[in-house]
Amino acid sequence: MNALTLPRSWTLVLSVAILAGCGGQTIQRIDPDMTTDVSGNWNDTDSRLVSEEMIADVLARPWLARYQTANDEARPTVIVGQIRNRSAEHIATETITKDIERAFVNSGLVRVVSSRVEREGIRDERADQQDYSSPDTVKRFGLEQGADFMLLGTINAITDSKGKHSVKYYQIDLELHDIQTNEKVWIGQKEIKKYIGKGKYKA
Amino acid sequence: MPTSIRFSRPATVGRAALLICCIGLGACSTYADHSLRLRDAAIKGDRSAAIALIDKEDESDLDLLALLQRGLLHYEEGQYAAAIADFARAETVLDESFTKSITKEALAFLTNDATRSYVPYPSEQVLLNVYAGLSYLGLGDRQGALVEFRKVGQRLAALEDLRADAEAYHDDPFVQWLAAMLFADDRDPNACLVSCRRALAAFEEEAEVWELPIPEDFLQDYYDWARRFGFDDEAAALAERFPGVETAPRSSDEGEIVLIYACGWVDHLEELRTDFPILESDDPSEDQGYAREVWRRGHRGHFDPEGEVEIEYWLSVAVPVLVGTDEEIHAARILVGDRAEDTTMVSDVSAVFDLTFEEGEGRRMVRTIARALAKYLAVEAVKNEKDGKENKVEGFLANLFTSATERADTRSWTLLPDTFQMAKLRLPEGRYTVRVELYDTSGHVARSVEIEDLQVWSGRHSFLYQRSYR
Repeated sequence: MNALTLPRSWTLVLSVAILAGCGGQTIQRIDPDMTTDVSGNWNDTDSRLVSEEMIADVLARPWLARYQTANDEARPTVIVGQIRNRSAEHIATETITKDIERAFVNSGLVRVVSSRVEREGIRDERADQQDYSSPDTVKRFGLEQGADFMLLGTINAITDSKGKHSVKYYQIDLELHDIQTNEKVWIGQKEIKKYIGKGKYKA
Repeated sequence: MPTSIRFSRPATVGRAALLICCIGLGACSTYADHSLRLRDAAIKGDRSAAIALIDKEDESDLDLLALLQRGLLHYEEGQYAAAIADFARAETVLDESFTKSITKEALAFLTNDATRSYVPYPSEQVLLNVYAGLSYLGLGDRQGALVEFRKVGQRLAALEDLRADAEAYHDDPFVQWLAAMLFADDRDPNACLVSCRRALAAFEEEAEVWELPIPEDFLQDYYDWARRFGFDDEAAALAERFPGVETAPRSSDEGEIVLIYACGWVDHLEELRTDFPILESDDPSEDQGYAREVWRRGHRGHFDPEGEVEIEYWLSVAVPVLVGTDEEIHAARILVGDRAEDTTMVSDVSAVFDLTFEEGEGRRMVRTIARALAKYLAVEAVKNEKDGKENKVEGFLANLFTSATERADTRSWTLLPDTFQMAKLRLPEGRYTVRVELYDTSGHVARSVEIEDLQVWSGRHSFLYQRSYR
């Protein structure tokens, strides 16, 4: 009987099959400020770029000085509202709003009040205090700081793709509204454009 | 039966090997078997058992198809966060599938298409985002749902290259309509009307290709939103084209319950297999006579040669074919107090799946022929490898391998429904007990479900989802 040795062509087939099963995972901690692009989708770097540029712009524009001049150098109170995501990606807009709130508070130039959702929790707590806290520590209703301005925004995106090439364009618009007059006192805009190329084959 | 078939010199070794391999391969569980078990568990009302069947695999080994199946089961089980996690993972795998694995492509060329990474059919890719969107709605995250519905348009645009000659399904009217409802709730007139226009164009395309009626509820919604948002010319043009729409203004204090009813099972794929021998005595130059003979041999029980024959090559070809499922339950009705509305079909999932499956027929056929040729050449190479001498044992085993590994790629997202139907009920703001009745083909109530304390908000849509598996 002929020996059942594997011919060269069969060795190739088996090699392919074995290679298909290879793989592994690596994890390493990296600097949060480091630019990392994996999929081409919106990521932490985009969020940071938007926050940095918007914060620098909003604190440098004349609406702040005008308010202080008209109000005996008092600091304006701002409520940071919703940034509406009109893109086809799930974008955590709260990372931007939290960055802006932090910058406002830390600058010492702007007062920030709680958002709608945060207020509900705080009011629940205040209501709780009426029943359970000692009289000298209980906080009263009706003394909340009213906001002078409200920050609202949108994220729009356009994707153009063909085969393995894709271009993504994001436009982020933030607007600061005077709550008394509806006047827009500041408008900031940031654009981000990305080219994403994908390889056709991998091993 | 043939008088005598000789597989060449070491026939005993060969036949033994053939028997062992056939037994071994016959015992292998196919995707079709697995998919049937999932369906059976769902039909028995035991979705948890179906999820457990998928969870038996190592989490890191779950492929795209398993994630889609489990995502749908999680959604229908009301585990929306888990469904979103599955669909998000599936989408990441899908986006990466554009980059083909050389090793898997090579393996597929020598075995079968089922060894390639699964790339969902275009209709399935869209439904990934539809069900992800519905999962976000289940969590009350309307912005998240809109993100998923926007992805549908992008996905279909990205598939345009692949579907250059597609006769339909350039957009998904059901998704556009759902998106329009959410935009209307958000008081976003432009986005709402753009979605309506896209939905109408897509419904009209479906009406032309599949002779499906455009849902009257959609036309009424389109008309109402055009009026409400000040697009009076567009509303008037619509009323002129579709005289059925009610032009009397509707109360803006009312909200609307939207029942999405997913009915039955989407068409699935089964294997059509042909095995036939090519004999050493064959003369392919006999043109029509030879073709007829090969066709005859390909039909089981028709290989009946006279006298002793020697098989040169055993050719096996397997291709996937569409199979439909008859539904016992086929319609639904939503009832609140003395108000009731019947569902109407808004999306024929099977028709769209069939269309996108058939669009790939040419590419599949080319791959099947190329693979058959490659396998034949590989067997010939193995036979002639030793110093120019014919190497019949290895040749026979190589032929056995190529034949046994020939399988049709019958993978598809089998847990999808056959159709989506919809019923809408306008009600004043308040909390309601809602009953959904499902009807069998004879018109009897096959199942009734009660949803208590459903909140209807003025000027908003409240969504309900119901599924029947039989």
